[in-house]
Amino acid sequence: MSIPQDETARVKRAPKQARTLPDSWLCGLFLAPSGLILALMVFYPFFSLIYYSTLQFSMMRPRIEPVDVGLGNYVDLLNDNEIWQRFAFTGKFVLATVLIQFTIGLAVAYAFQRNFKGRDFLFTLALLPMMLCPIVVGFLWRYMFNSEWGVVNWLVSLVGIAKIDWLGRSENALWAVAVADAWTWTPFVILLATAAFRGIPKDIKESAEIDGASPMFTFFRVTLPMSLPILMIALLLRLIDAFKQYDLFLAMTGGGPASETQTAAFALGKIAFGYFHTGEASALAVILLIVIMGLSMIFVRYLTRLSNRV
Amino acid sequence: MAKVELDRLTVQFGDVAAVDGISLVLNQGEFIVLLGPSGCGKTTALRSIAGLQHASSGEIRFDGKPVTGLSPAKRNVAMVFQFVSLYPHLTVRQNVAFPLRAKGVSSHEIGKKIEWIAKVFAIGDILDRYPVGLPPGSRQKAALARAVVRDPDVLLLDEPLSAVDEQYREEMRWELRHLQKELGITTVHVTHDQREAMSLADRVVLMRAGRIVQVGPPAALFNDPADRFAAFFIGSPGMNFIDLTLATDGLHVAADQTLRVSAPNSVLECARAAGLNQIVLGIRPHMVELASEEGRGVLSAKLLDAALVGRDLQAQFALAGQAINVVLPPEAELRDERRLRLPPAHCLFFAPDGTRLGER
Amino acid sequence: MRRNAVLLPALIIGVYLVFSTGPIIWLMLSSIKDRQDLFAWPPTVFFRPVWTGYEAVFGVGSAQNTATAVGLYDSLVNSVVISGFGTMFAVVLGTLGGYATSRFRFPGHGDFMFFVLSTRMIPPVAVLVFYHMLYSRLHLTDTWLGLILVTTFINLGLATWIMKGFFDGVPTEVENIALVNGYSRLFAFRRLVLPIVSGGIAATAGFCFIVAWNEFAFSSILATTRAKTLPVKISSAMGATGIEWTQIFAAGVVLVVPVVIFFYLIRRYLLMGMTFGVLAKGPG
Repeated sequence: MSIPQDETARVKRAPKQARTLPDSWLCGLFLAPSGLILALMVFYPFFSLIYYSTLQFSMMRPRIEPVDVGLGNYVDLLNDNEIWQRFAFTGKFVLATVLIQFTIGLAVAYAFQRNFKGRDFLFTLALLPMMLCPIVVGFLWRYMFNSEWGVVNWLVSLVGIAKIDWLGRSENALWAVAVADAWTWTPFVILLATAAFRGIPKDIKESAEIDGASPMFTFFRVTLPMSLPILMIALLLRLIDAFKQYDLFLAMTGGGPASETQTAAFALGKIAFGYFHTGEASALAVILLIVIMGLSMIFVRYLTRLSNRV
Repeated sequence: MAKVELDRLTVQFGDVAAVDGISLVLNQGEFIVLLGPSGCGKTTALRSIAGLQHASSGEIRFDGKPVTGLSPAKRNVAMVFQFVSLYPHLTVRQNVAFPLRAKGVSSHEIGKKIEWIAKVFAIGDILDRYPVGLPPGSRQKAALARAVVRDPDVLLLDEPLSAVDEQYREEMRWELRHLQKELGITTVHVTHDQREAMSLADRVVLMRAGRIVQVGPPAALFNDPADRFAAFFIGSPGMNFIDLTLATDGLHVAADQTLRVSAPNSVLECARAAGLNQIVLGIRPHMVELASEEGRGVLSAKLLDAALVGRDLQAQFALAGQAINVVLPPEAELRDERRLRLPPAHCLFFAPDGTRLGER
Repeated sequence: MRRNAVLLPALIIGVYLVFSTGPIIWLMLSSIKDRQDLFAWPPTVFFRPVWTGYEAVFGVGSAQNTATAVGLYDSLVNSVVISGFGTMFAVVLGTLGGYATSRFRFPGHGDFMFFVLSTRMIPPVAVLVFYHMLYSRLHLTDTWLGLILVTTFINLGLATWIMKGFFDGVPTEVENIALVNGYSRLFAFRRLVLPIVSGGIAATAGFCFIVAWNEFAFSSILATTRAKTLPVKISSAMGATGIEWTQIFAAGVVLVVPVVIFFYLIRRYLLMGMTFGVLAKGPG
């Protein structure tokens, strides 16, 4: 990584500075605003969430006194088989969409490595799906996946297969929504992966070339392993977002048929704004958060270990 | 090991010829050093041999077969880079095995080769370490091991020692030379450090502005430089140059006509034939002697400065308005005024344009 | 061998572009289809365009909308102000925080980064109610300030993490040269380091702007009249009679135009940032 030449050339002996802040002050100054906002907007709600989860009440009926049930909400939720189903479905969905995103994303980033004419334009074009409003994306794919007149089934019929009921059956809907989600966020993976690949020192790539490694061999044995830190961060961010996915399910399946395509987040929305069991919803939110945080911690630990080596 | 030939190799970047029609023959097993200042084209030439740089014209041949159009992978060359030569995410062992795995060599074979190379390079103790924890010297040794393990035809080194600490560099140079002789691989080494070139090379190729200035064993470049640039570039401290005027009665110091200098007849004839009345005398600081009395080639000079550098006493004298560097044994006696003797045997003569006068 | 080396990448990019831009083209086409063409089988590509969708979005022509407290122009202004400032604050604070965490390895910096990341983990649904109550009490509902605050906090986690990654990729020698020569760290940060990570700042701004611009959940709950943002406005302006496909699609097209413009404006910084050692060392 080279230092811009003109910058360092201009750095001579500094003129008298009025007053320089010690590093620790500057650090505090830089962190304070963020810390403040996060504490107010996140810590505070989070703790109230925990507090609410120990109550049984409803936002819609403020006149009815909240009942303190301790961990009762949690017990009810964890004993409810339905909730476990929701989590299972969520897990499957997360796996599916992340799989698609990364397979396609890494392949495309691989293809964008070498410089060619119009690369910048095509690259910007590839970012388009990310820019759309998520609810619109949901409706768009609902339109395209419609079993009667959707264009997806038309393409499928070209290959000779009969019309598939995408959104009415949960096993298909899982993949349909996963495709929609992956479609939207693959550009994110492409962006970060491309950045990672381009950050690998030229000497290393040339070494591999001279060593006689084919482009594929180099990609899997050198490029990918060396990009692991960034890719892991991308994976972590995508996993977190996939767990939270709500808009797409709202637009595409509404959680149906019945409640088969409800993810945990969707179920949460239903309990909070459908049944208005605010206490129960809070408990579910806490459980969901614990799951997400647990996963993240594992990731971050692995990431730290990795980055110490590369 | 292969014989490498460069045949009028030219590499152009736009209008500029980084390498300008150079021709060179490297014999099997030879250790060649491409030496020169920044921008002289030595690295470009090296990368052309590797196949990383496309040649604008000319040909490169290994053992008589042209390789100019071939990709690096097909040329069977190996290269060690200046800074990052090892894959940071692999252990040394995995690094060394990498080129073998890329070619599909069996694990059994790989194991045997690693054992052998570990002995040759004495890297057995670091085989399972990661590059990040190793000192630069060990890292470059491992990089060399990886380069050599697949038996390349040519070994290319791009200033591999410049990132190594000064104190280890000397030791690494010895090891490098020793290993090269033992393995017998044709080696091309690029450097801007003339001391490194002189201690490593079988032959030195001195380059400047894309062209070859001189090719020859280190001693030849030191004692018999082709021109003034070569004379000054080699040797540290650099050669002293004194302007002379050529009169009918011989050579005088230009700044002080009373001082006279002698030169071989061949030089005088050369100069007169070229119609020159001004030439330049060159003498290395190590060759200037302190004289006790008058005599041939003895000139008076005033002492300007002196310092003990390493085991030598480096002094600077003013001779007819010009500064002359002299390297003396540490016990030499210095006074304000000394007589300096310029032994005719060690004097070299150049025309104003830099070309060498007289026989070589 | 060279020809094959080009074929595979070209194929991959070609197929992917069809996959990624196809639906977008379909979106644009479908936004001007009439009811017959929308549900036609096989799907039509050539048809007579109909603009009812866009008319509904803009509240003109055949769809003179009534139940709209805030006109399209006003909600556009709201969106621009809220997204603009929200993005700016998130990027600025994220840059400062990212720099502090990257350079000053204060005790607990790893935990701080995890805490920052955890702000991203909360599903909006879970805290919507709480926020509504909080904002009501603070009189922040339906205000620019209120929504800007929300927008900032939504994006702060991402901004901080991405910027820290970029700062990790800048060698400390850059500031050290200045510090050794007597310059303050603030100076070094402003004049030397920031230009290097300008690409990262652009990328972060891009991501944050997308999120801010398209944000729906919080906006729909916390700003229902004066500070209504564009996505909310458009969804409320659309008829409640079944799914008005063309209206939704038209809305989608209209909403994405400013985002594309934004990315076009920062494209130089974006592509430049992609060539540096981004996120070279990860966290810690």
